[in-house]
Amino acid sequence: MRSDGIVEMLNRSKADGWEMKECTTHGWEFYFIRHQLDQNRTRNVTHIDVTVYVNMDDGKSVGMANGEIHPTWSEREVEDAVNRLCENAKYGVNPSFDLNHPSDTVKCQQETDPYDNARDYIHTLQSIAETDQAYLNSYEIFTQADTIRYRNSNGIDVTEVVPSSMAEVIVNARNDQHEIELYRMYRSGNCDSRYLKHEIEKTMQYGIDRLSAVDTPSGLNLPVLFSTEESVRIYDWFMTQIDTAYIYRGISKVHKGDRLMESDAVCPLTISAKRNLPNSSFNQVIDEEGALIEDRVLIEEGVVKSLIGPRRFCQYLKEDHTFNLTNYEVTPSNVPEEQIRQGSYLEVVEFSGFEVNAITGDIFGEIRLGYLHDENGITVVKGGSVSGNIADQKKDMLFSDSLTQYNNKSVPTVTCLKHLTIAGCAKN
Amino acid sequence: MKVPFSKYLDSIADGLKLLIADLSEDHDYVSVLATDSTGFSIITSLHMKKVSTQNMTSERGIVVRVARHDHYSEYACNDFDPKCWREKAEQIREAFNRQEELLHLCGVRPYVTGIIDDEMDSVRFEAEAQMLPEECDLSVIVDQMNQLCHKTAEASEYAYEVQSSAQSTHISKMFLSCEKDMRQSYVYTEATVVPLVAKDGRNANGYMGVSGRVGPEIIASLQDVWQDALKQAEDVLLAQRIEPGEYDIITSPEVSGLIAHEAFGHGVEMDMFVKHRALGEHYIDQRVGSDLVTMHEGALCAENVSSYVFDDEGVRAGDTIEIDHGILKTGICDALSAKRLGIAPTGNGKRQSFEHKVYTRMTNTLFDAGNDTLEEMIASIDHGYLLEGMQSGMEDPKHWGIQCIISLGREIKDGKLTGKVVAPIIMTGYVPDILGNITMASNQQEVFGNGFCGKGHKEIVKVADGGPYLKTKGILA
Repeated sequence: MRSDGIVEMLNRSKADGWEMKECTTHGWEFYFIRHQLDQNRTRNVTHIDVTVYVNMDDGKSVGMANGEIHPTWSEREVEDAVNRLCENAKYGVNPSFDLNHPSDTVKCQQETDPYDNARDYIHTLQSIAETDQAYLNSYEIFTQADTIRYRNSNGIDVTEVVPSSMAEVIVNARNDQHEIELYRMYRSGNCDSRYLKHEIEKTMQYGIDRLSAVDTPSGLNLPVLFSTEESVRIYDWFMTQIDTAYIYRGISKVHKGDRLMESDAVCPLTISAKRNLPNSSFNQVIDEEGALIEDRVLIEEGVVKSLIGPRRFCQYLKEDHTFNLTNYEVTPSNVPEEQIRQGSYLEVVEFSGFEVNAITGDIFGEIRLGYLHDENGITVVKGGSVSGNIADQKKDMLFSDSLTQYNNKSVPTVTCLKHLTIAGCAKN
Repeated sequence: MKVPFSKYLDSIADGLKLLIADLSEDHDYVSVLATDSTGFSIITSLHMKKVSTQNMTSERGIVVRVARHDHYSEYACNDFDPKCWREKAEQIREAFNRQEELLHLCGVRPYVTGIIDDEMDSVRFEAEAQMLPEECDLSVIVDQMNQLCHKTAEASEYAYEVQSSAQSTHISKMFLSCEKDMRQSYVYTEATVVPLVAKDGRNANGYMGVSGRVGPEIIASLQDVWQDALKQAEDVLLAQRIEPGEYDIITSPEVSGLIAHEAFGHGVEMDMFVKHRALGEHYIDQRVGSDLVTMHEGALCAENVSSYVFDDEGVRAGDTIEIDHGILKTGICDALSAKRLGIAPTGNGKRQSFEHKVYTRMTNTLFDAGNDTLEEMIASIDHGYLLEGMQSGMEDPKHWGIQCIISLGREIKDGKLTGKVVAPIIMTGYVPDILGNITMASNQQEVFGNGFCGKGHKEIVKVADGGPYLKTKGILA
């Protein structure tokens, strides 16, 4: 059933309001073992997500329910589904809020062609300079163009074409004794050949270094330096703290105007939402609820300036115009990277999994590859872990005067946390 | 009652068979997986409610797999009209031709695999369930979950939010090829309760769940676990930090399950053997654990969220003994990888949805139980920890490193629990060391199906894992 017919059905239904997001994806995928083709895939799919709203008799509450309308459903099946959503909405009752209204939007039809994009990826990965010691074990390439149409009962009707792509790359390094692998996932709008090549070649060098790594010594009490994509997790934690859903539910206790960092923090943090970052796969004019995305300062010098998040929680908190975060950029500090790298420190460039828990602020990561910089020079280390809590790190956290972009997040090239516990694994 | 197989899938079966016959004219192998899975998801908390007829496993669509010119191609769509099978066949050919044009331009050669054995098989399986997600009264379930949240919150001076989530899916899958006609339907359901607590600016949470290859009736069982979830949250909130080091540990069944999953779950997914990405391929018939370690993997090992009759490649489900008394015997395998390795597939070819590629994936991954009691295990430890609550894990199949994030540890001194709790905990180590140091295993095994599993950082599927209490050594921080 065509989506216009679904809209007519929603307008005829018992719903007092509705939202509909229709996403048509044309995707190409290529899977390689070494440089040989494992499999090629095509995806041509359309997903239509509908949310209905039913006002409750008390005048203060709204019921809401959502579901997918499958393209192969008959008119009767769609009607039954819409009626069921209206019925289910009575069980999903929340305080009332308004849906977004139309605003002056800029057309966002980004250029993309799965053929060209896939070709660029394949050529780039074929061009990586491999050696006997470091090589590409396997890789997977995903390119797609999403045509996203958002409509709601307040009259918003915006269609955007959004390119997105992803390359999963397994880099191996080996010597006579053993072989190791490093896992990388690169996401972006279209293929950025130069960036991809640079990052993979850097990863290959990490792999070679890891072959000679020794166990991380015990008893280290040093600053920990982050210079790879894992550093994004640190800044993501700050974003969760100003998310209205987290605040409304009490997980985050901050309000606009509050300090998220101490007033005497060494590097006061400034983070801004960005409608566009170069080649991000999140460059969109409106968010998933139809709100206009703006460039906006969210945290300035450690002070919360604006909240972000789903519309209903924003309204509950009486925040008028907000949106869901798509891209963000940290303002670089005035501390040069060389200054951060002075003295002894442990730079971890590869974790098994690095996380900063959004609820507790706990930090964890097993060290797969690190560089111990101390009076003995540089020692390549592996094993053991870093742990701590973000609350203990913010005041003395250092970050650099340059930025590195990881798809939709542009963060300092180097970030240093000074109060993490380093658990070594070397046997005494 | 029987869980009825999708009428929609029955209605498109003839059209799909015509599509298969058409594509078989110029392809060496053709199969179709068609899915029609419906369900619901509900989230209730003290602050919000969300009701949806979508969840992570609800889907409707088809994926066509063909082999031609020594390689495999797939086409996924969700607009198949059985009357227009000829047009769809042409669309598929056109899509593959365009991709092959690009591959030719780039000078790409295929990984030569051979053709999957398409042996005749036919099955129509409809599982039993008390309730179906599409027929149950959601208002009753929402009420139950809502009351649970409030009851949990009222029982704690520290709770500021309690969230309860549930999802139930009526799965229908049909696998067709020239020789196979396989249809199955079953229901799985899972639910969790997560109390969030705070004191002096510090946040913590607990987590307990229920799951099974059953209908939504299991959601009511949250009544049996909310107190444990709350106790876990409060214990974590008031816990001390652990002194990093190597300790004697006892892993609770869910932590044992996490180790099983990360250690020799991912480590013996044999699509990784094809790419030489797993150390396990070199250790078949060698010792990787103590005599007490026997590990099973397969959809038939337990009846939980990933227990099916056939996998997404039309291979019958199995029960594979991966480790037998400490000796690594074999891995698990999807059909394509099995062909490449010259072995039989084990029924572990799974997709995130019809839109995604098949990989070798886990189903139920379980350590066998032993003969000890938990009391005997605790009594055997001079200084160590009983580890409870699984948060996340990560493995390194090429190097056998493992990372487990665990909610808390209960201190054991001189053979007794002291009451002291440490949290949070990151356990790291070398898999053969952890399994090799297992010296006791309790006599009860539990299975947990609330988790998800990714391949790398994507391809999320439902899995279950578990085991008994295990005594071993671990590096904790």
